[in-house]
Amino acid sequence: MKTLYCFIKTFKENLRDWKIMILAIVFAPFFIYLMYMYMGDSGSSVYNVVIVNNDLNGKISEELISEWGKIKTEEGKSVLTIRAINDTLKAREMIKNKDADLFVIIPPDFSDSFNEFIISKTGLLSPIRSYGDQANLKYMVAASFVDYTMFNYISQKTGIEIPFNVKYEFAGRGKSLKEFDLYVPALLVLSIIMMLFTAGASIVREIEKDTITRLALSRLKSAEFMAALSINQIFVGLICLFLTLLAAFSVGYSTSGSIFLLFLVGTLTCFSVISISIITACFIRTMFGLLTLGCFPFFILMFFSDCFMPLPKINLFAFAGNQVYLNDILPTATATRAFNKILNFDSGFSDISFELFWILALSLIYFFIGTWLFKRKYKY
Amino acid sequence: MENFKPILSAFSLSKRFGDILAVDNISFDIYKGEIFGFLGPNGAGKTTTIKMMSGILEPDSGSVTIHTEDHRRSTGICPQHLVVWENLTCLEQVLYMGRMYNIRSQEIRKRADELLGSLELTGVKERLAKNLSGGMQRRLNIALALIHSPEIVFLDEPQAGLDPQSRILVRDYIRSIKNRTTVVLTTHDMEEAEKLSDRICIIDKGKLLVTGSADEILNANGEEDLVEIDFVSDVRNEFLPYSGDELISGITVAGNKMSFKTRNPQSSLENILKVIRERGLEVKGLHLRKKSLEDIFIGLTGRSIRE
Repeated sequence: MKTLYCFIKTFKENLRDWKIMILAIVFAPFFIYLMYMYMGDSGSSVYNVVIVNNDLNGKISEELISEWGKIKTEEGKSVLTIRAINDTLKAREMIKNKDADLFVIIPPDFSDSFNEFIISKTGLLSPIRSYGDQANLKYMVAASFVDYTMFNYISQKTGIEIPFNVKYEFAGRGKSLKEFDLYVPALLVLSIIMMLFTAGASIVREIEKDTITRLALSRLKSAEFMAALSINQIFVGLICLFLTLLAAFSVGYSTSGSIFLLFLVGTLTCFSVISISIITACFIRTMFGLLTLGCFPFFILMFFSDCFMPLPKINLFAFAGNQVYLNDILPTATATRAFNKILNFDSGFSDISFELFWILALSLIYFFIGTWLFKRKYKY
Repeated sequence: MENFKPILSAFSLSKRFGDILAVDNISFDIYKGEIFGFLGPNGAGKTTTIKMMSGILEPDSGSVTIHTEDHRRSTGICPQHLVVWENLTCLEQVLYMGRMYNIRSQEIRKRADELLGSLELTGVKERLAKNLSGGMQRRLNIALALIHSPEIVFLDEPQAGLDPQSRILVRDYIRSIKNRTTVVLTTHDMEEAEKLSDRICIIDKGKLLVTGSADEILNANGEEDLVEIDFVSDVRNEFLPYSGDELISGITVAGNKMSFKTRNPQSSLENILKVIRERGLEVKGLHLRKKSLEDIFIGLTGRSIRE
C-alpha cells in the first residue's frame, strides 16, 4: 500500500511541477513534426542524379536516360530524380554540396559506338563515367540502380544475354520505406530518453528538499520508494511514447506491426531509462544540476541510440547467436532496433526476443547499480 | 520527567568532518517526558548531535541508545531547514507521512486534523506548501515530525524565523505535547530555552559544557547579579573603597554611573545606600539585572562570533 501512496504522491507532484513534464511529453512529438517538415512525404527514398549528356545527337543516350527515369518503387514512385545539366564543374559542385548523389557523364560518341557495335558485334561502347562522394551513403545505392538499369537496357538492345539477373526488393511491410519511417523508431526512443529528466526530477526533488531523510526515517523502504517511482515514470513514459506515435500517425506514418509488442518494448525501455536516471540522481543534488549536468547522460543515451546518426558497429561479443555491439551497452540502441523491427518490418515476438531479453537484462543491471549507489549515498 | 527513566542515552559520541571535530566525546541521558534544550553558538555541534541521535548520521565513535520498542516509529525530526513537499498541500503531506508510518487511515485523518488545528494550519490545509508563508511552512515542518505521535521528537531550532505570535503558538504547542512526547530542541534563544526546557545542555566546539535545569546551571556557575546606579552628578573614585562589602565585585565608575556585581543584592545594596547617604549623594535611578542564562552562556562560550 505504501508503494501505491508513494506513487500517487509522486504523480501529483509531477502534474503540479508541469514544466518538466510538458518538456518531456512534447519533445519527441515536436521532433516528429520537425523531421516530417524536412523530409516531407517524399515517398520512398529518392536519389538525385545529375546527368551531363554530351551525346547530343544520339537517341541511345536519350533512351537510356528515359530508362533510368522509369525505375519505380512498389508504390509506383520514381526512385531516381534525374536532372540534366551541361556544366561538368557545376555537377561536381553539386556532389560536394550533397545536392546530388550521383553524377553521370555520357560521352559524345556513346550512340555512335553503340550503333557500330550493333553492326560489327565487336569492340566496346564509349565509357559512361559516374562520379560520387563515397561518404554519401546514397551514392552507392544510386550507382547500383543506374548501373544495373544500364546493363539491362544494353542487353535488351544488343540481344546479348547477360548471364545474371538482379531483382530489387525493398525492405518493409510490402512497401518501400521512406527515410522518415526509419526515424520514427528512433524518435520513439527519444521520447523515452526524455524521462531521464522526469524520473531524475522525482528523485532529485526529494534530495534537494531533504524529504528523502523524512522518508528514510519512516517505514517506507527504499525498494518501495523505487518501485513507486518506477511505476509512475513508466506510466509517464508510455504516455510520451503514445503521443509520439500519435504524432507520427498524424503525418501519415503507418504500421501493421504489433502495438502490444511496441508497448512491451517501450515499458522495458522506460524501466531502463529510469534505472539510468537513478544512477544519474546519485551524482546530482539539485534540480539545477539535473537540468545542466543531467544533459550529459541524456546526450550519451541519445548518441548511443542511433537516433540521429548511425554509428559504426564495434563488435563486443556474440551472445546466443546474436552479435552485441559497443553501443548495445546502453539499452536505447537495442530499443531503437526493436522498435524498427516491430514497426517497419512487422516482426513478431520471436524476432525481437533477443532485444527484449537484452533490454531487460541491462535494465536490471542498471537498476541494481542505481539502487546500490542510492542506498550507499543516502543510507536509505 | 517520568521517574527519571532515560528514553535516550548518548555515550561518548564523536563525529569528525574532515579536519573539523564537530562533536567531541559527549555523553548524556534524556529522560522520558522532559523537554531537553540544546544550547550552543553556531557551529557548536548541536545539529550534528541531533542528527546522530535521530539516526540520520552515524557517529564515528560512541553510541546512541533509544529505550523504546520501535526506533523508527518512536522518533520524529523537525530539521532546522524546511523539509516539506512544495507541490503537495498541507493535508496531503501530513496524510502521506502518516501512511508512511503505517498508521491506519481513520487514525491518520483524525491525527492530521488535530495536528493542523493545533498548529493553526486548518485554514490552509488545502494550500500547496510552496504557497504558504514562511511561518506556516515552519509549522508544517513541525507537524510532519509529529504525525506519527513519536515518543521522542527532535526539534532543531523550531522557532527560527517565526513571528512573535507563531513563536508563542509553537512554544505552547511544545509544552502541550510534553507529557506524551519527549522533546529535544535546539535553539539560540536563551529566553525560550529557559522558559521551555526542563533541562538544558550547553555545547560548544563539540564539547558538552554543562547540563542541568536552568536554576541548577544558574546557581552552579557563580554568576552574580548586576547592580547599576545613576547619580545626579559625577561620583568620585575615592567613594568606592568605603563600600566594605566583600560580596561586591567588578565595580566600575563612569561619569555619573556606577555598577557592580554581587551575589547578594539585598545586603550589598544596604551597605552601598548607607555610604551614599553618608556622602550625601543624590541617586537618580537604580537598576538590578538578574543573572541570566545568556550571561552564563557567554561566560562559557565566549563572545567571539563563530560563523
